[in-house]
Amino acid sequence: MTMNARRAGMTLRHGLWLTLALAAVCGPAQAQQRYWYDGGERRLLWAESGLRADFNAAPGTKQSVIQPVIGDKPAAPAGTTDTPVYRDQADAGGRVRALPGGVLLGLRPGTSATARDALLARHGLRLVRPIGDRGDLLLVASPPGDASLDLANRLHESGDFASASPNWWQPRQLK
Amino acid sequence: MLIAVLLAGGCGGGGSGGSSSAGNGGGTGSVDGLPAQDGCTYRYTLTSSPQLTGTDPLLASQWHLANTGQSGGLAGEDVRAQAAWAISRGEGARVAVVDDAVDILHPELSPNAVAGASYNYRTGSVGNRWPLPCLADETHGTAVAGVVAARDGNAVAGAGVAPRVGLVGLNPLATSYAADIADALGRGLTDTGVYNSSWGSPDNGRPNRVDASFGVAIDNGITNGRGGRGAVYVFAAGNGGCISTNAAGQCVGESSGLDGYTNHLGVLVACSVDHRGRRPYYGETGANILVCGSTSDDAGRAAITTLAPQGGTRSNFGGTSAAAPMVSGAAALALAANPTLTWRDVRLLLARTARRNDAASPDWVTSGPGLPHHPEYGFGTVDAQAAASAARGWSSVGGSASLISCGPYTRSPGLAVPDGPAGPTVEDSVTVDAAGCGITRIEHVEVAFTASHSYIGDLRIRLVSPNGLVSRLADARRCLSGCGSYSDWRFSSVRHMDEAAAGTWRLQVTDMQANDTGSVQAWGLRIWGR
Repeated sequence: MTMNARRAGMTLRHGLWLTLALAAVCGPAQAQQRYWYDGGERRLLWAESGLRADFNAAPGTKQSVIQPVIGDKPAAPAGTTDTPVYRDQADAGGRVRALPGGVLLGLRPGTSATARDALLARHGLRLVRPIGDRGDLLLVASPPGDASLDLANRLHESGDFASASPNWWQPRQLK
Repeated sequence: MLIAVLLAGGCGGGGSGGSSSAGNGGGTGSVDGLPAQDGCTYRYTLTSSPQLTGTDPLLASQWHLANTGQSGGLAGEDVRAQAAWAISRGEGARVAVVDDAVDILHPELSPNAVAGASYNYRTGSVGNRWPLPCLADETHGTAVAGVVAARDGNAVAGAGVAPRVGLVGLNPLATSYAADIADALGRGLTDTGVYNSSWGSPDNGRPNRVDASFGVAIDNGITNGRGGRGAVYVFAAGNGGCISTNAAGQCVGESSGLDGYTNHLGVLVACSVDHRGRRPYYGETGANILVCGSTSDDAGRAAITTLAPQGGTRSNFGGTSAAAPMVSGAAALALAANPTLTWRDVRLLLARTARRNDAASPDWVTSGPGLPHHPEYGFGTVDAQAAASAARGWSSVGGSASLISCGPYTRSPGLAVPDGPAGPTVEDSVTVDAAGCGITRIEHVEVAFTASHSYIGDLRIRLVSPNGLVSRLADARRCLSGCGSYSDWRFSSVRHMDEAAAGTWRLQVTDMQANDTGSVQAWGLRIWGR
């Protein structure tokens, strides 16, 4: 971190934090509440109508994933992925998260490769890759946005998996 | 040796302030094995160059390795790295730098990079697998990697704390997706002893919870890594030590206890001290801090000299980002000296061999069987030489399989907290029965805390052990954008290391600021040890 940024008490990166700070002033107006499963816990989410997430920005650009919505939200151009932003808490300082696509699936202990493949097929899921060196945590494909939240909730509530949660994007701070 | 060469675009990478220099790439060559990264500022190609030998020209300015007073600081206020090299330089151990990007083609890093072990989350399985900087400001991970693992004795730049350690570069912050974070923290567990994370939650005064997938990755790593010996996860304490000022103009900051990453069992939290052995104003305090590394001072002077992308160097690296990889490097030296150490051994080893910096500070407390501890410095500045030396004769306490857990001991006191400023303090307690908990030497304590309060930044929260030692879990503060809430928030503490678990533990809560009120609804205590 640079000293100038440190004096300000935070590290600004890509303008993301500035965007979030501006959004914090506005707050999650007309917040729509959703939920998701974090491991075995059901957690609430509040939609942030003042922000949107774009996971299809040109690679290498400085554009932040999170963008403010100014005025009426424009229709996303064809081929782009303009998705909602949520906060962990109802107030404007709640941490933001968004949905780039994908679901993290935890398999029950002892699930064989054959049983895993059968489970994925039964739910119409495509394996993207295992996570880490373990065989019991998987990333499966889904569209970005609320489709991945809905899919994760449906998979968790099916009872077929140890856990199912969206592959969340969240900002993380360099120290 | 492979060398990265700037082909087009790119502008620096040395960060702002301080000095930086361009690399020493040796002309363009083929692009064999290195597909272009579309849209990236940086471009790379591969050339070959002989491995040089000779004195590293910047070594003398790296005061954190051996402080002779060359930066105007106090001689001896360093991490004793150069002194440790007589015992080990890290050969045989492996460190993963988990960050935004790592220029593993840098002439200082490529000799140590483990072939095939790094991974590029930006492109996944498509394109090259190297986590190279793409955007011009992706300089952080390369600087961190240089602090840990810059090669010594090659007549280039300086050296890392563990200059012969195996280096793995992982860039999950390039996407910041939950799946990539979890994957990086579990990648290469068979061989990787240390994972360095110089990042975390926003430093905004608010309890920032982490998702379960993070905890699952850490739990798996300490349980199953290195054949059951476990991986060591080092995280930076944070730079929120001065997020606001009080009426007297004094800094008021947040604690590392408000970062969900640094409270998890198995995470080794690193703080920072400057070249005089004192905490810079931005450094966070916290009961979960184990040991410190070195960093820049209050004014950004005497910053850390390390690496920049494209073969460059920089002399302006600071924050706890710089301190954490020194602790990782020291852990790697210990593991190289004794590969049988478990993750618990490494923590105990670093704590017991740490050096008491800022020794005149009145906040150093030793009582009963506990080790000397300071709320700002943990058990002190990491001492790589002492750690590597002690590692060779260390008697293992075992890994996760032998770790004893007691609790949770839960309470729902519904305890009203009178409005501040300054009290009165309210207190609740639980008693740990020796017959039900056999821990005679504590290693980790967790406090789950739920309060109903209209501004939780008012609350000072303390845990007092049966022996009378105090963990400062949270201090009063002003938050940048609301303080959020304490809803089953998990504080952790290493302050009680080596104490016995049995006896009465007290939770003390004080409202330190006027105008808001509330109550302690519930709390719980869990203890791990042997």
